[in-house]
Amino acid sequence: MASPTELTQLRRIQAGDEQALIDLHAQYARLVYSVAYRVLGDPMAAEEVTQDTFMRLWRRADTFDANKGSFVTWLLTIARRLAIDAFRKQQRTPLLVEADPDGWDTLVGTDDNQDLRRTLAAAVRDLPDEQRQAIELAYFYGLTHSQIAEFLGEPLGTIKTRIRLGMQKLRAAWLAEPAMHPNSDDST
Amino acid sequence: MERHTLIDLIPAYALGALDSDERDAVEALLRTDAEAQALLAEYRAVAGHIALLAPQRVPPAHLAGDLRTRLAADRAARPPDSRPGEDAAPRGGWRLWMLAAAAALAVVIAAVMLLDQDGTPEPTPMPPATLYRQLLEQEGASRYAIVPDEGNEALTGELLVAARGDRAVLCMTSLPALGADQVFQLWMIDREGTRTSGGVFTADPAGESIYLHVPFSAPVTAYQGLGVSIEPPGGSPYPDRPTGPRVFSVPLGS
Repeated sequence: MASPTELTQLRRIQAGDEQALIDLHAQYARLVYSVAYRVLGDPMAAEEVTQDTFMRLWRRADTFDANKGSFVTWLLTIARRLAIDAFRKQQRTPLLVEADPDGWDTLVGTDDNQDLRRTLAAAVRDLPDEQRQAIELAYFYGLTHSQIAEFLGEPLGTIKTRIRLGMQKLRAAWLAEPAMHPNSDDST
Repeated sequence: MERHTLIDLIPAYALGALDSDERDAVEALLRTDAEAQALLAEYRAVAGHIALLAPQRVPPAHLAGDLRTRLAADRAARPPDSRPGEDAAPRGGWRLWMLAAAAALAVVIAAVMLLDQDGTPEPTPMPPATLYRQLLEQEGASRYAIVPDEGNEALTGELLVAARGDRAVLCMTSLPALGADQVFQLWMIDREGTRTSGGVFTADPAGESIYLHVPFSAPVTAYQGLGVSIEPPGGSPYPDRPTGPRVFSVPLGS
């Protein structure tokens, strides 16, 4: 799903209206840049991925399917995949960052996903560090079970368990919180 | 693999964390099992929102202007009246666009003094402006746009790298004015993030376009970008980092 405004902007983009892309860039560049920076840990590389993401949107706006999810998660999926591609080509080492729930709380008012992010942040905050870490290595770096096990020096079965339990907890929080459903973030 | 085992793997499948054998087995289940499909939809929705938890960073202000530049290049690359994505040829188009822009630009070659850290003129095999014009015509040469930092939005230019990767030249237009006790310093940043000085230079304020050899010591693919900073005479006191503000960067992509 996407908001009526976003759908209008996407239609304008498909018609070749550059200002529509500029408007979406103004609205979402910060989120896209943050995801790219989280993966790459480098401002210059994150800038490049951010711009590539919006150029991908420019050329492929017609591939967005409102029935499959929200616009922002679709856009961030593009950003994450481009960042992971860059990460792999540059043969970087994943960054293990500490959870920063305080940062999430203070920055949570910067976009239209405030309730969503706050609730998910709380769920992640409650995860044991090792579960959060395994999920982030999979999500932000595209690592598989076996690659995470090798990177962390842990048994494969342990990593599988951490990811499964961590994701089960996040799903439970998602199901319990209406704001975390795909439709809700598009109503803002 | 038993069904309950495959069901347990769906959270990792939604994250893209399965190795190939397990991924194939889960996909086989998903083709026929409605409950597994519903479960996957929920986990995918959860996974899709994890990106929102990336610590927020403020992107540089120049990104909006840079996007307009890229849109202009994309527009020039497409046939008239076509829409985005139709017959897009970004690399060739960018090349044509830049050639047209270069042809339209009345280039005034500035006097450039390329100095090493001791202030000694550095010998160059070919004047950089000549090399630039040569690379403009070279098939297979790579082009990378300058991205000005905040306050230097008037600055434009590009890096041209020869097809063989053995020569590179930087063209800069509308560099900011330097103080009497300042120089520009070129930095080359490798894939590990290590910065190496590419020398210091000053620009004749009467000139418009500045050309500079880039002394890469490895193939351009070994670098993630270039940067130019403003430094005291002789350059940064540190061999691996600037001390002054960055004027612009040149992302070299991935």
